[in-house]
Amino acid sequence: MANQFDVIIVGSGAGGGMAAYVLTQKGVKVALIEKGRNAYPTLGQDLLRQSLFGNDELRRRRYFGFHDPFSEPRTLVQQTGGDAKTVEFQGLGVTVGGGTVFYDGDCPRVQQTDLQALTNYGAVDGASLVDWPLAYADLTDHYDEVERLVGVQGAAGADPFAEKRGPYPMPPGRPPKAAAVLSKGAKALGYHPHPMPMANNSIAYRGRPACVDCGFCGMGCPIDAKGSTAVTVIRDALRTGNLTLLSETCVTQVLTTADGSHATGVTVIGPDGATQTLSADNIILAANAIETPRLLLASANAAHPEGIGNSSGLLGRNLMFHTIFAAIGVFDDEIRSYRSRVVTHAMSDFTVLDSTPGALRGGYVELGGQTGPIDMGISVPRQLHKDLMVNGRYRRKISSVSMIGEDMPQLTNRVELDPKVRDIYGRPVARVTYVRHPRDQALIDYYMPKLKAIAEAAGAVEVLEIDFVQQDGVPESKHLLGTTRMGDDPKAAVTNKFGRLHDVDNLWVADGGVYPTSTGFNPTLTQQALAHRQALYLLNPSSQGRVKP
Amino acid sequence: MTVSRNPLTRRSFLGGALILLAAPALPACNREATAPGGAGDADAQGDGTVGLPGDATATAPITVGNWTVPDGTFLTPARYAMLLAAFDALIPGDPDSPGATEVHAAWYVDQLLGAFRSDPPRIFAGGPFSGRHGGLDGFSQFQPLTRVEDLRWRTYLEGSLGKPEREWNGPVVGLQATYNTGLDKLDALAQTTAGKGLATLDRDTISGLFDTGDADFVTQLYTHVVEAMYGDPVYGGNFQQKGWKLIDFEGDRQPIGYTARQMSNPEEG
Repeated sequence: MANQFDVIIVGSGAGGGMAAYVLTQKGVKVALIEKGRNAYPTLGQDLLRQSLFGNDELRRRRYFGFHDPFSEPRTLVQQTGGDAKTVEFQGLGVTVGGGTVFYDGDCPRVQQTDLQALTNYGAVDGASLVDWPLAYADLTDHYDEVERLVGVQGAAGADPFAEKRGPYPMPPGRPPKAAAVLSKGAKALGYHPHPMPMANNSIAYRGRPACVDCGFCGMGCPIDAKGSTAVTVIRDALRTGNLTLLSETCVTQVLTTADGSHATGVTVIGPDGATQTLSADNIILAANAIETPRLLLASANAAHPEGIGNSSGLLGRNLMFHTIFAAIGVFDDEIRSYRSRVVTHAMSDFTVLDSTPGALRGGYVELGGQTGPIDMGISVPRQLHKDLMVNGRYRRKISSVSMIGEDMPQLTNRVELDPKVRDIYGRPVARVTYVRHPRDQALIDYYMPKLKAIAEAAGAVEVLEIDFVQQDGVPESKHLLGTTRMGDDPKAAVTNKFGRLHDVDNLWVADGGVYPTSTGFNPTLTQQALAHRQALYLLNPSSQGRVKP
Repeated sequence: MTVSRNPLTRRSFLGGALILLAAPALPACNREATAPGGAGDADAQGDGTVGLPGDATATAPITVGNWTVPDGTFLTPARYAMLLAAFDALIPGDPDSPGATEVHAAWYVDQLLGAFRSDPPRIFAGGPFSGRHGGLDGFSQFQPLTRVEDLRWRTYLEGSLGKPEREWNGPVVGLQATYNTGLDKLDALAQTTAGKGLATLDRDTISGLFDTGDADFVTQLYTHVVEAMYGDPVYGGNFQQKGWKLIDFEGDRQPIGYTARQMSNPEEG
C-alpha cells in the first residue's frame, strides 16, 4: 500500500465522501479511510452492480454495516451516579458511505434563522448558545451542488417557510397513504405540508434507478436508488483514479509535528491487522461527532496533552442529538406505512420565530415513519405478542407525526475517553455524558399537543405520545452534533468557520461535530454542504470556499 | 416518525406505550395441556406428528411434523427439545395460526449458534435479492466475514475461551454457553417446580417458569423467537414465510417494490 497522500480523509460518510469528491475532481491524491467494509464490490467499475445489502431486517440487527456495540462499546455516565454504564446507542453506519447508506434520505436545508440561535433566544441558563460563524448565503451554492450530485427530490416553493431556492434535481416521488392522510390533517389545521426533500431517486438519475418504495431504507438500498455518498460521490471519486479507498481500516492515532502545529499523518490498523503509518499534507476527520473527538482525545501528545486541538478545552463538549418526539396516530383503516420510503412529507410551520410570551421555536416535522416487524415484535409485551402482531392495530394502522427539535448545546454534555472499557482494536471507547436541558423538555411539552392535534385531525382514533429517549434519559438519535464546534474565536471554538482546527493548521473536521448549534432540521445535507465548502477552501483558501469565486 | 433510523431503542418506548394501552386486553392462555411427547405437538405440518428424543442421551433425529432437523446442529437433542418447548410456550401456534414451532424457531437459533460450522458462516446473508420477486437468489450466498467481524462473531458465539485476542474487555461468556446453561437451568426449574423436564411440560406451566426463571435468558429467548418469526427464511426461521403471512406482512420486496396503487390503497391488500 502506498503510504503518502495529498489528503487523508478518515470516515466515508456524508462529509468524508463529499470532501473526497471535490478534492479528487481537482487532481488531488486522496486516501479515504473507512473502518467498515465496502459493501459495493463494483463501486469503481463502469457498471455498478449488486450491493451486499438486502431487504433483510436481521442483517441490520446483526450490525452488518453498522456501528457494532459488541466490538466497539460506548459507555454512558449515569445521571443517577455510579460508574459509567456500557450501553448501545447512537450507532451510525460503519461501511463505505457511512450513515448515508442507512438514513431515510431526508435532505431539508436549514433556514438563516437556524444559524443565529443566540440572536433568536438570547442567553439561556446552562446553554452555550452561539450564532454560527457563517450565513445561509455562504451555503446556497454548496446546497445546490450537493443536491445535484447525490440527487435530491423535492418541490421548490412547496415549503413557504424555506429560504428561496431553484428547482430540485428531480420531482417528488410517489406518495403513500400515510402522507395523504397526515397531510390532510395538517392542512385542516392551516399548516403547510410538502414533499420531504430527499436523496432518493424519483426517476432514474445519474446512472441509478428510480426508487421502488420497498420500505427497507434502513437496511441499505439494494438497487442504489438512494443517494448515499457511496454510490454517488465516492463512486465518482474512485473513477477519477485519484482516490485510494481503504476500507476495513481503523485509524488509531493522528500524528503531529513536535510543536503540535501541524498534522503529519495517521496510524492505522489495516484489514490484515497490521499497523502502519500513512502521511499526508492535509488530514480531514469525518468519523462523526462521537468518533472524531474520541480519536483526537486518544491522540494526545506532548504538544497536545489534553487531546489534539483542545487548547480551548471544548473538544468533545457541546454534544447534541436533537430532541426527537412523536405523536403516533392509530387509525381504523389500513395505512401500511412500510409501503414507502420512510418519510415522504414534512412541514416547517413550527420553525417560524414566534414572539408570543412562552412560545418556543420548534423544528421540522416529519409526517410518516415506519418500523420493521422484528423490531415491532420485540417491543410488544410477550404475553400479548400474537394478538397485537396479528390484529395489526399498532403495526399496519399507525402513522407518525414527529419533530426534529433543536436541543440546547451544553458544556457538560460531552464525549471523553472511558478509562476502563476497550474496543476490539484495543482503543479506549467513547464515554458520553448527556443530560437534557430544561428547555428541551419544555419544547416537548409545548409541541406534543400540537403534533397530537395533527394526528387527530388526520382521523386518528387513538394517539400514542412518544419521547424518543432511551435508558437514563438520553435522546435516541443518529444526529451526532457539536463536539468540535466552529467559531471565529480560538478560545471559544475547536474549529474555524471552514472546519479547520484552530490549533493545527492542516487538520480539519467534516462531520456534524462542527455544528455550533443543532438547528431544527435533519443534518445530513448541511454536513455535505459544509464538507463541499471546506474542500474548496482547502484547495484554494483565497476562494473563501466559494463555488463561484 | 424516524423509527427505522433508530430501530434498537425507539421501539422499546413504543412497547412501553403498548403495555399501558393493551394491558386490560391480556388474553387468557387457553391451550390444552400437551399430551406426553412434549410441547412440539403443535407441529409445522399440521399432521399431528412430532418426534422428540425422550432423554438427554438420545441421538435419534428430531422431527417437527414431516420435517427432520438436519444433522450438524449445535444443541444436543435434549436441549433442542427443551428449546422447542420453551419457544412453543412463548409464541404458541396451531395449524390455523402458526407460532414458534411452525416457523422452525429452534432451528433458527441452532443455525446461529452453529454459524461457524458453515463456510462462510451463516451470519450475514448475501445481496441484493432473495429471488422471490425476481432477480437471482443472492441471500443464500452467505458473506465471508472480515477479520474483525470474524473475531467479533466467534467471541460472541463461542465466548473468549481464554484466548487473549478475544478478551478486549475481559472474559466473555458466549451465546452457546448462555443457551446451554440457560436451558439446563430452566429444565432444572421445571423439575423442581413441576416434577417434569422442560421438554415435556405444557405451555401454561412453562409460561409460569418464564416469570420466575432467569429474566435475562427469557428476554434472550423472546428476542430470538421474534427474529425467527419475522426474519428472512434464509436464516432458518420463518419457514415458508409463515411468520410474515401470519401478520399480513409482505416481507422483502426488491426488486419490484410496491406499485403506486399498493402504496395509496393499502386496504386492497
